[in-house]
Amino acid sequence: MRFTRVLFLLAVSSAIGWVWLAPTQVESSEPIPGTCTLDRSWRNDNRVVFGPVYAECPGDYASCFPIEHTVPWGNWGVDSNAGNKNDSNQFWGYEYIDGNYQWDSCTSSYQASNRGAQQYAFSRGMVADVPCENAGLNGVTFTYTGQYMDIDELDFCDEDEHVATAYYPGFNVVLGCSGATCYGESGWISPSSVSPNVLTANIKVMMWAF
Amino acid sequence: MLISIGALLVMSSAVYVALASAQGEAIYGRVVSDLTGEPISDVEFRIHRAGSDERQSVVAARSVADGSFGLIRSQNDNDVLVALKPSYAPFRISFGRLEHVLGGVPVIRMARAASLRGHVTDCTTGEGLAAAVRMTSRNEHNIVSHGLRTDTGAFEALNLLPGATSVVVRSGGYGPVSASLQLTQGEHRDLQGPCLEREGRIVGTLVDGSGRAIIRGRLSIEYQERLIEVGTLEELITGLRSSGQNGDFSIGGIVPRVPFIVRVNGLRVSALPLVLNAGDVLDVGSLTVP
Repeated sequence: MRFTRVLFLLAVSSAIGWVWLAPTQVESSEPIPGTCTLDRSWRNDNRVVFGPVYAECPGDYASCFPIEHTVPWGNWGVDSNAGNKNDSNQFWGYEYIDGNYQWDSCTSSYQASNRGAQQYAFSRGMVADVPCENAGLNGVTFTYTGQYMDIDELDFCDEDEHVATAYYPGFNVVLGCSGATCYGESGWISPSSVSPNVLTANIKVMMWAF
Repeated sequence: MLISIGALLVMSSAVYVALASAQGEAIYGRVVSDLTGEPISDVEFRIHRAGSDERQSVVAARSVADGSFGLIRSQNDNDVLVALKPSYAPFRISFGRLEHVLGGVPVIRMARAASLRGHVTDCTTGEGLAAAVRMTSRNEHNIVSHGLRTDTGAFEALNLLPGATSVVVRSGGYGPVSASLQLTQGEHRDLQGPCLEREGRIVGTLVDGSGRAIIRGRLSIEYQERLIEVGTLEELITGLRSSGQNGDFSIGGIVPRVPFIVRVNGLRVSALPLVLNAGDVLDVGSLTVP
């Protein structure tokens, strides 16, 4: 997935001017000489659904001709602090149907995905107006609070069905730099709560600066 | 400083015991107000293990009356020392940076916390919206991405780092907005907003040069103003849903009042830039993929 590049401004301003953003935009910017830019990947893993889930059940939807609902299978998307949901592979299930690994979305049975760690959001080029190395980003702490994954079963022609929202405790990522390249990642973070409590998944953030 | 350290060792038996059985190097320092330079007492120091969640942090020390503290250094440079005191913004610094940037006897300057409150509404109806709010603030050692969700539109974030802060607000079915502002120490800012506008949607049919339906491909929306602004040809993939057997497509999430063109597999298929108003659903008819 490619993203449009939009200046991420941390400019000093006493007035608040709200700016419209492109829908899936996260912090992003053109590299500026003498500064360090950051790419970040949000990932999830250990996806387990306890159920019950009633997001794609027989008769529980409007007609969608010529595209038919694939009861009970559904591709699940992730809305989060880091980006919007989309109909790709943001929360891989275990059954490969119609180009995606999907979940049984009308069940009270246990399901787990062994598809491994996967990216559900990505941000490119957040500006840090310092050099990467030495007193720049080396050893700088990135703190993430209020992280969540809002997980929906995606439907093409009617409303998406909410499956669950997982909330995560705060965590820190520290960048280590070698030359002008930096890297850091969190460990896998388990949710502090899930509402409704029908699933679990761990998340981690990986960061590159260059 | 020698007097401070002596007083510390007498007053803090826990630290003394820790030092006596030290498995790592001891660090001594002072914590002061960034605003006045006055020492701050009873600051709680915690150590967060690198990459772990904050629930696994442990209390390492507390500052005494003259602001001095002593603790055993974590042996991992990426572990984070966190200084906490009510009404002050949390101060975080990795152990590697603590020594290399602040020096051997670090002086930690804690800033008064700022706060932000606001109310997310629909620009047309004025009704409150369920929304996600993310605030990013920073100092020279710490960049904080602070997220929260609101069901009613009302939100308040406490314990923010003062300084340059960016705010991004999103709500399903609405175009996101952002703002950049400067928070001063101890400030409690009311954003008095923001309002969001409903996203637009386009529907239509994709065909090839022979009039046959295109059922595979990547639809994308390219915002011309964005491209002009950043000077690149990167495009935004948004709201993509697989096209139907007859080539039908539907793309939501389009920013109101911003001209855009439609691309398929990177090829331009809309002759002229399109513009939607908030909440518009535009049938663009049949689009031919070159």
